[in-house]
Amino acid sequence: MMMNMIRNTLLTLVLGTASMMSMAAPQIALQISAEKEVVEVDENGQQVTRRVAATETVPGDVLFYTISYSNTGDEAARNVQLDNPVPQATAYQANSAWGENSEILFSIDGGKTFKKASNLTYQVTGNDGQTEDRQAAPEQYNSIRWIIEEVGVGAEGSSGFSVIVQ
Amino acid sequence: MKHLQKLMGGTALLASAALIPGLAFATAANTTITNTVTVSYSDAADNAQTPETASVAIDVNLVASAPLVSSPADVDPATEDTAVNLVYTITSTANGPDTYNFTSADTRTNMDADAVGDDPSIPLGATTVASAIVATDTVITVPFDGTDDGVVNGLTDGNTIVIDPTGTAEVATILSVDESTGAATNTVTITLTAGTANGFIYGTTIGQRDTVTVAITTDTITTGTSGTHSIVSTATSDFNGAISTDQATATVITVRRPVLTVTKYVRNATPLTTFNPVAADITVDGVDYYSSGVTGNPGDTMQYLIVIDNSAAGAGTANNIVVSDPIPQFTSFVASSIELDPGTGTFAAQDETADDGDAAELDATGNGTVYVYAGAGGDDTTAGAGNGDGGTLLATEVSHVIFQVTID
Repeated sequence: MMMNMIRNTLLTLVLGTASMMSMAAPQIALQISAEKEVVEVDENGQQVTRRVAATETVPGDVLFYTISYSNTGDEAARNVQLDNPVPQATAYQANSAWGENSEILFSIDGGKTFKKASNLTYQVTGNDGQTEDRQAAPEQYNSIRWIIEEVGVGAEGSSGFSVIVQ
Repeated sequence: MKHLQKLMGGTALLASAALIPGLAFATAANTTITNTVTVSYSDAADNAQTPETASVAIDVNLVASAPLVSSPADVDPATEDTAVNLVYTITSTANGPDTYNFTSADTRTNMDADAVGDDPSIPLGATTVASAIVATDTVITVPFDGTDDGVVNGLTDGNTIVIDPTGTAEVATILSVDESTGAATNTVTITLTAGTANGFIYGTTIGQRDTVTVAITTDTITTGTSGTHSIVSTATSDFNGAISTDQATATVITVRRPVLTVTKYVRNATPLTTFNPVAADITVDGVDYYSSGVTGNPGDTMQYLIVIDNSAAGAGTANNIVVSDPIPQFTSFVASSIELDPGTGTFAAQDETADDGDAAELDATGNGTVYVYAGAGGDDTTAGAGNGDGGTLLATEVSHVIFQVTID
């Protein structure tokens, strides 16, 4: 009788552990911040540019967005994909997107398709009826995607881009 | 920290302002710019996991911009110590609501002191186009200002707006503002009373236009008949006192004052008299009058002429002209002898009865005093002899009064 009880308890414990193991999963924690540059004059009268958190802005400001991510789960995250539409009332700044261990793609169709910047073209029809491919300008980008193959357990990384406020 | 704030308000602000070539194209103040990033990922077995999102919001601030200010037409004539209303049309070119404070400067000639303005203020709304406008559109989309109160960035029903005020400058009137979509879409709609004539790109400035009345109080003329105040009013942003617009062309207010001269003549009006000199000093309505040399016998009728002259060069309008003339000693007033030419060249008889509605009355106290409310529009209706309202002589006009006495 006593032995049975012990055996059942052990079984429960083993099963319990097994079910916990099957629940192992990646968990990506995500944060985003916005900064802008201010020019200060230091004690020696030198102009110093510093970034401060941006809560308000005026047209013409450049905003620097930084996306921070980390895997707080207990399994590696795979096929990690960060999608960030370029905010309304701003324009993407050329060559400003960056990211660790990532491939960076852009969209000019509102996030339906993403391509490398060099492959981003759109078609125009000329007066002669001929269609022509044109290279998309950075301010036409309306979404940005970072593809990161794997974020290991406890690993963290960051990416970002900047925009000019219209 | 204090040091930093000071610098952000100064140098940093200059740095960002330098990036703006002009506000013809900008995002409206009080717009919230929200950036949202979404992460999607899989586990080791390629099972998709629930995506995560993170957002950061930034509010767009007002950037003060010099408004458009009209130059009111010159005013001539104006009178001394009087408020002259100059009506200015002012149009916002900013990206959001601001108040504009008016001040006025004077460059004066022949005036004792500068004119004084009453320095009014006016709030003007402004926003920007959030979705390109196509010609004939009556509904335009603008950024939400964060408060659903039917007033978007200071603009509301009935306001006059100018789309692209520094460019195409299309004037429109707001029929209604619908902010019900603001919370969900971050944009709201303005319905115009008529479709636009032009198309406008995203970001085009929409500024309110209104009128401001600046009351300029004139001063006194130093010498002569006229002087001028040359007024330049300035509209300054309340948000940023360094941003202002002067009216382009000064408004010249010419102040004039009347310079009346009064001259009295007489003639012996007894028929066939030989008591008048040979040469007339003045002839009015075909009748000669004299400054001196007139004689008469007891019982003769003497006719007096009073000339009230406002024809001095540059003179202003003379108001409330009252002539009072005591009947000379040893003479008696001739009943029904008063006549007035109010400046038109034609005499009209005036009854000397007090308060009877014409322009003359006789105060019988003592030897009597004739009161004539000369010029145009005078009358004796106010009770009591000598209490009537004087008439008006415009610049260059002359009024004549005649009455008769007999020598006792």
